[in-house]
Amino acid sequence: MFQIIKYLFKNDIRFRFGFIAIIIVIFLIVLSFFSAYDARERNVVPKNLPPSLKYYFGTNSIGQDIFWKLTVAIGNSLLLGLVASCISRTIGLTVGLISGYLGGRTDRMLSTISGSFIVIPRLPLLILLSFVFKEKLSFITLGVILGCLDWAWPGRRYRSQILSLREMEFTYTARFSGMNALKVVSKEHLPFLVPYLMADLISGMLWAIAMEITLAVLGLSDLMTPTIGTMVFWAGYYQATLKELWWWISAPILAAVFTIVALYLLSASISQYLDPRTRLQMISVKG
Amino acid sequence: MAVIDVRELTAHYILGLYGRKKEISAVDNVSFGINKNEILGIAGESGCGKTTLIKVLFGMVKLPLIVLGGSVTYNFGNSSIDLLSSEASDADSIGWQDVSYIPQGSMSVLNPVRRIESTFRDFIETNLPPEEKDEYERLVKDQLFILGLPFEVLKSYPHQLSGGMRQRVIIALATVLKPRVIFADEPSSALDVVAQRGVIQLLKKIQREQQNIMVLVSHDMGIHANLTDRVAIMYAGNIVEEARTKDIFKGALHPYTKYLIGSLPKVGDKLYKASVPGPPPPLANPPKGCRFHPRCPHALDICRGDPPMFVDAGDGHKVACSFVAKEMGL
Amino acid sequence: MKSNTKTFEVRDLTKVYNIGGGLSRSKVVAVNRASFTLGDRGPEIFTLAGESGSGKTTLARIALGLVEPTSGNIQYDGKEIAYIKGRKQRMAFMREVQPIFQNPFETFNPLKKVYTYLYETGLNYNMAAGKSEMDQVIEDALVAVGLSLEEISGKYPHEFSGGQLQRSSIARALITNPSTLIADEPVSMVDASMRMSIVNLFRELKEKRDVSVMYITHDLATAYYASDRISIMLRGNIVEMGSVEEILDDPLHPYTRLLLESVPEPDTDQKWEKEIALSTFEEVEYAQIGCKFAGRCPHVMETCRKKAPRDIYVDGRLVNCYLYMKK
Repeated sequence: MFQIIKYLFKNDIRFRFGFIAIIIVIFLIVLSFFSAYDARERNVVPKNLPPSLKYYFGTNSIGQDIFWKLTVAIGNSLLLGLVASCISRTIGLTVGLISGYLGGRTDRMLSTISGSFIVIPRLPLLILLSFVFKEKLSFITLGVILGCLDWAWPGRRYRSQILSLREMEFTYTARFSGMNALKVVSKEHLPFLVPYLMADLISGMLWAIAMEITLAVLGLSDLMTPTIGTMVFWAGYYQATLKELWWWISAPILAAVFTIVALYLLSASISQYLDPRTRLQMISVKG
Repeated sequence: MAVIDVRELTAHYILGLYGRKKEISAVDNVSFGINKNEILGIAGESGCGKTTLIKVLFGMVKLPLIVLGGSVTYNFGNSSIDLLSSEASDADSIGWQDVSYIPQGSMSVLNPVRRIESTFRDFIETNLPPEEKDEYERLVKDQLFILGLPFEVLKSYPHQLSGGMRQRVIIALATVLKPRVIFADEPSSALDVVAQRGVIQLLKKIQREQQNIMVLVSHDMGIHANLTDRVAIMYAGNIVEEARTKDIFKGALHPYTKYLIGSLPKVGDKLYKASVPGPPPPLANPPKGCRFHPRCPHALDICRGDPPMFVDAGDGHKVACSFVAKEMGL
Repeated sequence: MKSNTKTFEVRDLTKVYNIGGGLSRSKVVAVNRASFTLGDRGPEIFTLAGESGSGKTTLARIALGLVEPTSGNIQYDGKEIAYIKGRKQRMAFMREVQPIFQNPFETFNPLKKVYTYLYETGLNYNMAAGKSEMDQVIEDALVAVGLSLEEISGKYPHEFSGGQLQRSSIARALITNPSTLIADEPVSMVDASMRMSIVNLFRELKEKRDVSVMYITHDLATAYYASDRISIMLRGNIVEMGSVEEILDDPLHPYTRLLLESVPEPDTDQKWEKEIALSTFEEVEYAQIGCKFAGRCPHVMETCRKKAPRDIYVDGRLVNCYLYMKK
């Protein structure tokens, strides 16, 4: 594992960038536990101060230190993304594998179900749910709901991968070697899916984070929990741009862009590395 | 004088990925000449370098392939053009009217959404000077007629034709401008036996009609026996033997060639046939000295260290083998 | 030596594919009423020869139980293959009948070591008790094909040459001690110089291990060399069948003759003389009513185009051609 990281670090500039960036992000998140202030408390510092050596990103109109609040916010957003993505990809992978490998009626049934999920207009649905549940929609619950709405497309992709893998000659060899369906899928096919899974997991996180920001900016999620989205919301609510409190609105946005780009770079370089074709090329260059 | 003169040609593939490098010695110190009105066969198995050799002869040298040394000279009439020289204009002056190339798997090259006649028209119009553009119809009809291909293929789409017919259409296309040299890389290997015969007979017909040079690369010795005048046997990037086709089949000298010819099954013959022993050599790290020595039953000490001695057995029969040299008292 | 008398019995086996949908549907009869037996008189090497589109690969897949026939019977050891359901029955069948595929590099997963397949086969069919016994079983299979455990251990498929990898594939198939190997073009992707070692291997397996081989190929030279009986297939129909010497030394069916004539002999004294007629449009032949060869046959008669000829027996061999019909 470490060898892979060291290796990618040396040879792939995207990985270098993304890895360093993510380390910074993780560092910030860890820092959040040492914050002097509780991020939900109001009026703990003087209001509307621009960035300075004491308040690195300045303070906002609610009397909170933006830097320390941001560290918590990034952590929450990422956590939400992770929860949503893990749930959605697990469901998607399971459904895709079963559907693709077994075929027949099971496939048709599961495809119908996934098709129904694909056509659901997610943003309107989420807006509706937010209206209905307003404060009771904690951000973890939001993560779970997002996860349950995002599995269908990935499921389809995994299914189509399995469909093509199923017809490969080595699948027949595996079957004639006596391997049962479970073994075939996990030992023969899964290794081909891992690169997609890695990139997919991160893209799932990105979607969930973006959804959260969207809902928060519209004022529809739990606004008391500090997340990137809610920070943007409050900045808007207090008309930060009109009052020229540029630091308040730019901090979460820049943090979001930074994190998202970092995640993307990591996923692209990891998935290229793990891609069976690249691995084969590497093996043949080595051997 | 040879029309195409190849001297000491060496070409390698340099591969590198994620910091690891590998160099594949695909063509190593190859020298031979091709004469007027001749069909030369280049025979060898997968990985022997024959496709790379053809690419270099045709001038298609693109990374990761690099030419490390040697020359390829085309002697057309009065001009001598060194294909690999650094002056780009030299190589460009050789166009599709002079040299034509039929790549492997070329049946799939036809644009599936256009009729055959459109493909022909495009090709001819691109390669002829503007004054002669209208010649296209006459050229195509003549070509199809001479080659015995039905005119109805012109109005068809590629998928409607059988594999063998598609391949023949490609060959007709590649030779419609009557090139002086035709390179064909495994022109029939993807085809059925009967279609293959049609393609090979077509090539023979073209060469007789146009009296040009044909260089045929194939791993199928039966095709060489049927079509070529001379054969060069390649092994691991080297030419190990070169002779008239008849002499290769009836009087091969190099141990590898002997094994190769001896292992070919024939209908009507159930006598035991043996394969060449041992595994083929890795081109990334070829054996020192003679590249065949690990598998050769006649390997001498000198074979393990030095490159094989070159023997001219007369009548255009050349062998690169120290053992043969010893046997002949050289 | 245990004598494997498990036989394949094929009767009127037919496979029809429906292509397209909605307004433009057409049928392709990939296999048309094929009938033959394999292995009923002891282990044998039986060739299904033909060009692409002849149906030989489809037939092989039906014999392996990978494709369901449209009609007709195909039985192995008295049991209908198409009715084999359930894991236990399937495993019992696969223990006896194993495949060898055309491309050794596709036969194995490029991401896995070759050894794992041999190990899995041994494990899943309970061929050994512990690891050391298993390694012995694997070693025996490898030795039988001219390899060794040391040679293949720890290596990925791309580290082998085509010939070695194909032999590993055969070794894997031998672990269960099968009675029949179904080999689909096993040497067409192997270099000419290595080919004979694999073909010789099939002969050896038949003689020393009583293994029958259903050998599918388009290469008549290796078919002649290795097999006992041969059947020539054209567009789904068996047009000639009998002992390989009979059929290929003295072919009766015009298509067999054409095939033989088109094989490029590695002999400069036997060059092709006359030109042959080739088919232009592929679908035309498939859709032909009557004999599928009527479009190209030099001896074609009126009846040929109207109705397909019946199986005719001439001196112990089967010919499907009106030329040999006794009046």
